[in-house]
Amino acid sequence: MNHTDDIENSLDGIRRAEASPYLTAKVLSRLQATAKQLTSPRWVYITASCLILLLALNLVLLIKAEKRGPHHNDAELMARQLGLDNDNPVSYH
Amino acid sequence: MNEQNLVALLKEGDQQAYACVVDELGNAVYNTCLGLVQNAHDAEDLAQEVFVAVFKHIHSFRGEAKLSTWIYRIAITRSLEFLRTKKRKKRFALIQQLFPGTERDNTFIAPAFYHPGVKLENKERAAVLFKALDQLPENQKSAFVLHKLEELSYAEIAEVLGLSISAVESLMVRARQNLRRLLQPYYEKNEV
Repeated sequence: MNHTDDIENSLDGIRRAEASPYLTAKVLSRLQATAKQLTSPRWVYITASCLILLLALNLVLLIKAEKRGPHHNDAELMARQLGLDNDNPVSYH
Repeated sequence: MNEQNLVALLKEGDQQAYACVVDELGNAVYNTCLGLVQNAHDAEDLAQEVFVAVFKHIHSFRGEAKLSTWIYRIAITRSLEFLRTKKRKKRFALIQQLFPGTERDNTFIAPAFYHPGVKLENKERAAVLFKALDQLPENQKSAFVLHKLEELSYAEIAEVLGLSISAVESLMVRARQNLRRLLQPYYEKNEV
């Protein structure tokens, strides 16, 4: 017989290794421990939805600001309407 | 209790069903993990992890395969992940040792592994085989462990690994060829 077969055959008649008799108890206690640690999926969804909503709002505001043009913010617009901007030739004393 | 009822109870979170599955498949999972990681303490820890993962993800079990097949698959995946992490840490420790002032870390030098189920007269030869087995590619190692240690048929291994039966056959052929190549120096040394 080939020597390599001899080595490979060393596993013949091998018995299955047995786990600790306390495996079940350990698994169940580990499961309870992880269940306590885990946040409820409901809260994960709520947090994620809030974040997405916040991002979407920011995006909408950014797009709106872009459409208005870079120099026309509300304060400037009001100043221009009241004639308070620097370009206005009328001076108030 | 048939498997469908058992899975239904598991999905409901029935503690008795959990215990039943661990009692039924605990040794199979432990033995598979032990064959792959070759350390009793790590295998015990992994077996617990596997069952926790099984119960946490039981809702994603569709019943297309047998429950035992699914659990074997998780055991293989977790064990291989564990080995990858261990290898990464080992590599990092080796790099660290290149710098002066670092203490030598011997925790990664694996001692010879003696499987508790091997016959006494085969212990030494089996330890040599396990050492060579540790150097095989992941899929060959998994197929070999499932076939030799768990005595699964090629068809069952194919289901666990998600391969065709012919692919498993070819994996086993390559595993044996690689083992012969790896064990060659051992024979040459012992023949002289």
